[in-house]
Amino acid sequence: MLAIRNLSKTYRGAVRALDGLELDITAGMFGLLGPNGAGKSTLMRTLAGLQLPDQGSIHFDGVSVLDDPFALRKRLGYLPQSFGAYPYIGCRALLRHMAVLKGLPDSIETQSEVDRLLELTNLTHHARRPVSTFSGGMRQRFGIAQALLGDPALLILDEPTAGLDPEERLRLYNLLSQLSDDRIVLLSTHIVDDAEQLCPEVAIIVGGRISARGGTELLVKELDGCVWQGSAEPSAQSGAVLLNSAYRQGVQIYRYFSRTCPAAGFEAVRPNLEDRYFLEMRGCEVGAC
Amino acid sequence: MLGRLKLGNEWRFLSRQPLVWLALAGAVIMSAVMAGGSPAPSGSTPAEALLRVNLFIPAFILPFLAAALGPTVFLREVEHDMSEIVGSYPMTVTHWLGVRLGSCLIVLVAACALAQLAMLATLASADPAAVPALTLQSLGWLLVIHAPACLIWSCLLARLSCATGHPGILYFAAGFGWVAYIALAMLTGTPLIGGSYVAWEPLRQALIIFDPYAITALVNPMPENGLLQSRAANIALGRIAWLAVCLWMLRGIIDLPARSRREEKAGKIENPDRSLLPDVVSRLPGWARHVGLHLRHVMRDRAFPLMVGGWLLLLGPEVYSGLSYAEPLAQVDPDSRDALNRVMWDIVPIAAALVLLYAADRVCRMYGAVRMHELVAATPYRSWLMVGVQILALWTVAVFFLALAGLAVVAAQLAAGSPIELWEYMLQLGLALPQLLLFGMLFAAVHALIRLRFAANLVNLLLVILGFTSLAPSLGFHHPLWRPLASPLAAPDHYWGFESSIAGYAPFLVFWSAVCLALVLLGMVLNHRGMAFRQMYWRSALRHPAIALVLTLAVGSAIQGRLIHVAFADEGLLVSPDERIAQRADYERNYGQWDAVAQPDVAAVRFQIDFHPSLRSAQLRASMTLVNRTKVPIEQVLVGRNQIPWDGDVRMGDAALVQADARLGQDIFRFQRAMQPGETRELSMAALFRQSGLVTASMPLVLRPTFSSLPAHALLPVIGFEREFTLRDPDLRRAQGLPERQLTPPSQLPPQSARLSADLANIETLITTEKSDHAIAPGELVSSWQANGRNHFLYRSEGAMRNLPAFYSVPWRPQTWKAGPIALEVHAPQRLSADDPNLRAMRDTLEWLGSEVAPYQSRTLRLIAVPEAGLSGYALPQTVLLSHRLAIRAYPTADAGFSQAYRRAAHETAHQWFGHMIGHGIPEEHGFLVESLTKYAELVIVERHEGGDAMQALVAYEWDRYRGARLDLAAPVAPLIDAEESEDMYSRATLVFACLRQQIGDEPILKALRAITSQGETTGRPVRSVDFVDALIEAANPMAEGTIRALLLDRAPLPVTLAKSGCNLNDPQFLAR
Repeated sequence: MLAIRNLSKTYRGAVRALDGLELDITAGMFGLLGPNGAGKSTLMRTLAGLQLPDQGSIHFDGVSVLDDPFALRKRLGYLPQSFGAYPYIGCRALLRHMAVLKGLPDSIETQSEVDRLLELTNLTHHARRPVSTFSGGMRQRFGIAQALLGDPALLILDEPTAGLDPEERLRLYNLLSQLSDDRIVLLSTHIVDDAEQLCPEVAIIVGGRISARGGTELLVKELDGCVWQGSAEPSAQSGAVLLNSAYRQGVQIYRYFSRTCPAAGFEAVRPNLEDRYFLEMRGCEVGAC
Repeated sequence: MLGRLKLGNEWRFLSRQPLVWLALAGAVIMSAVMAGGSPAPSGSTPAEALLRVNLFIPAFILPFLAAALGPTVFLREVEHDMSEIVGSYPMTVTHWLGVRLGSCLIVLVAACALAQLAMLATLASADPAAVPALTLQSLGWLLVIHAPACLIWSCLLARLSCATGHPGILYFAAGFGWVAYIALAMLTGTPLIGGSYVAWEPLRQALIIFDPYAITALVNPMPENGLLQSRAANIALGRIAWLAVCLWMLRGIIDLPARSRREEKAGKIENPDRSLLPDVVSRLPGWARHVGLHLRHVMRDRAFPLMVGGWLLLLGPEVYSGLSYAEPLAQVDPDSRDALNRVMWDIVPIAAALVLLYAADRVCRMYGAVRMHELVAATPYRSWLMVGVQILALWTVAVFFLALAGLAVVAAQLAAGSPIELWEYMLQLGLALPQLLLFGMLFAAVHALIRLRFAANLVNLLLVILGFTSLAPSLGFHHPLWRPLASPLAAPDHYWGFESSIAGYAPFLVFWSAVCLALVLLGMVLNHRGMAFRQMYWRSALRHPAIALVLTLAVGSAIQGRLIHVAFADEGLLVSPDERIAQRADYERNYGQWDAVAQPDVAAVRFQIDFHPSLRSAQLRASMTLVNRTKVPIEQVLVGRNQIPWDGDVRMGDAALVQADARLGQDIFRFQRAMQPGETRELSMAALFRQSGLVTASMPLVLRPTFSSLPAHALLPVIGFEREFTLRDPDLRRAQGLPERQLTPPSQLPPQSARLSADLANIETLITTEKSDHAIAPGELVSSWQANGRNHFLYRSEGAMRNLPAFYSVPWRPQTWKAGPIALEVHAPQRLSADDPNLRAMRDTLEWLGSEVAPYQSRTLRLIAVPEAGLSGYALPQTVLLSHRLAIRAYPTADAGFSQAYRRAAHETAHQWFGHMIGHGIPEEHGFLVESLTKYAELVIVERHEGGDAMQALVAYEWDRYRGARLDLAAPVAPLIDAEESEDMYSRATLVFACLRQQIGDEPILKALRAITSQGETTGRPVRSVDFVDALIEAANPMAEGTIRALLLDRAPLPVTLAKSGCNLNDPQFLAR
């Protein structure tokens, strides 16, 4: 289990990236949702032992990550938000090179593992091409493959679907679902759809704090009967909270959070995780429902 | 342990990096080239040559390898944005360091070993039998020099990588390490490049131990007393000290994470918004703001303040420490010209080119580095403006660093209390700037044209290497245009300023400006705009209006290049060394049989010379009277070109040209009627010599407004076969398929049948020059007059004199002095005082040798001060040439003990006896009778007129020089009378004669000198060194024969010979230190 307690980090200029963050994560897929600048990447890097917090603690299976980052790193698979690749070295050779760096033996077994991961990430046909010449999606698949090297117990993926085409994205969903059976897969994303489809549990991080956390279905269920949709703006007196407005086939559609129907022409709709996400962004309490 | 280093895994990565292979190949090629043009003095054994070339590995190759490989090994994650991924892997800092340090060390050591192999292969081809010994020696150097140097570089790279995470710092460190070590080597007399001297003895002493490469300890003599006497102990101590430094650096790396954590907590993280260029930038026009942006990118680089610091650190001490240096034990009163000359023409251009190379990468790849290239490429920002802004930014960097160089020199001058001349600064900095501006243009153009950043930088580096090193000539490309952006402009002196080279400055500048401008325009048209793809089709590019201008500039540069080429060809400067060697070999092959054919001698020469110094030309007409002094009729004469080739007219009276060999410059004339014994014939020649000024002036042929020298002795046609023009080097002879040359050493020469008269001739010269000039010729001045706006002078020798005529034209009026009955005529820019050391030395030598050995053979002796053109002192009959800087400007340092100027003037004057009276006529006798006996004269004259202490200081100086030149003092040597190495002929001879004087006194030596001089006069035959030895044995006490034989004929090492002869090097009576 991954236990995060009172984790804080402030950058120069009083930018508070993490603000006493508390989180417990058990095996399975866990989604971390939040807007840009909410502190997701800071949390990811801190978990991976790449950045030190100002205060707080992180324990993985009872071992303090901050005191002994190598204990975690031996069991960690990490995909950063953006990364490059050494030039001239082919994908397979680079994966094997990185496998050895991760502590795997330089053996035939490791080579088999590399080949399996290439197959898994659909890179077998490009195994000899240097990763530095890959397209964005292919490079992302390589990043996932390297993260999976060594069968890690904790998989931290920062925006893993960025740059993937729909087919690859689906493929990744399936892969991650399979992997999450016996390990923690921590998925950081601002694509709510990814989290809703993949993660049985999510946390929404806003301003460096967890503003909501729990089972995905439960977080959505708490909004039942409180989400309204219509094509006109209600009066300010209604007290309804605008969740989002979007054009759908040329017609502007508004979704509001309110205990009662905010205006004529609005109808109650089935809430989704995006509604909960926007509600948290607006800083509203669900109890108001 | 090795398993933990995961070397296989590192190899998996490194073996796929082209840069690694390029670096290894570069090391091998550079080594082979260096070994091919071996820097060892001629006559060195293969082992000595191997050591000399091995020194180039740490000094010249390792810094480049460090720069090339450092970022790949230590900063690959940073460079390729993989820090986060690799940082999350379970590797401790110690483990990471072990892996990277191990691989860096192995690659560097492997590169050194490959370089050694290339050197070995090159050197061993000359002496295959020496391969096993050389291989063993190479292994030794690998362990003692290269492996520790690799460790030091690896640790330094690791330390800097971990401390800064910035490849630029590594490039800077490598460049600084390279230039700084060469500067140190120059200051400590380490023979890596020419012009090295011991400028600061304490520094040399310190480097004997603390030289990171141990080179100082390997090539310098060890102190004779004190703690540092053992070479091996010094080297071992130095290696241990550097190992400790390495451990300290590594310890620092291991501590770094904890320290950075502490600093992070203490809020010491760099403010990313810090700006070095304040708000001024925002008020500038658009293009200037772009320039400011690029400059900010350069200046905010962490390497920039280091570069500025390093630049000042490199130049300031170099200028300060050598400001007044003239030569060992002599100094000048320095002014701004001396100060600027210390750095402005060697260190500044190459260091500034390296700075610009780095700045070009920062400036031209700025958008790519911040990942904005795609955004910028998509804007309507014009390519020409993009390149133009980059060039302006680079020009600003060039001006900044040049100004900084000026400030460093000013600071050094202020510290030394030397007068500062603003005009000199403006002149030198102004002349140095264009080359740097052109480098900026060239680098920007290369970056604009070549998409791959690495390839562009590699091309730029190659341009710098070609421009500043002898790589192109080493590879067989001798044309001057193979040196990008180079011009002949050289340091000015106080005799004639920039006159030696300024004429060639503009033609080269025009050529390179046109080339650079064409490339810049091409770069503007074909600019990749930071993208990995071509931005324009060729056919569209060809329709671009700028292409017409590019073509015009290309044609213009081709025309200018052609003009330069033709000027070089006309002056015979495009003949490669290989071709010269082949010509000399063919000369021997085709004309060697003429050595046995009776040929006439030159009995008289009548010259008519017209100097036109302002036009850099001179007309030479000569009529040579040939006389048949043999006993047989001569039917054919071989008339060949001399050392300096020329095109002109050669005619022989009563003879027809039957064969003309234009390549080797040999003509065969057949007389209509055979030349009977005693009969004479006339040979006439006429040639116009003109110097374009495209090449820096160097003696002996110099035609410039302030100094013109026409060495007729190297220009006149040569009659018959001249053995001196054949190849001497055994390796070259073997390579050319020539048989081994049988050279008889002087100690085994039989009595000679040659006649001294063959070298003598009556010389008459009518010489004219411009009306502001004075012309000088051998012989006595008979009359002078003005006609047609020109000065005319008639010179005539009083009887036959040594046939080595040379003519001069200078704008100085002659200064006349007397030395007894002999007139001393001085030609120098300033008036000499009566007690000038040169005049005193000439008087003292004339008086002493004239009375003790033989009378001086003329009525006049001339001293001509010459500019800095590759000559310190030289003696021709009746004429002494002395460097203006060394003879007239320089004076002894406080600790000198003797005057170099006095010594040199005495030496050159003594050649009127040793060289021009005796010592000629036998080609093999050019060492002992000429140089070694002159060193004896030097010793006596210095002692008689400067005192015993001065003489002892001179002996100590020559002992130091001998120890510096001979690495192994215990090795056997050639008998002194046979020796051909300069350290033997000069330094060893000084010590030998000092010992002889101590043991037998001067009288027997003078008797022997008188005997051989009169022997030459009475027999008309040249004397030999063995004649001197015999005469000395006869003149000395019979008990001294063993000493004389030991000192002059023994092969034992010098210290042994001296000790055997009763001269103890530790005896202050013999060698005062």
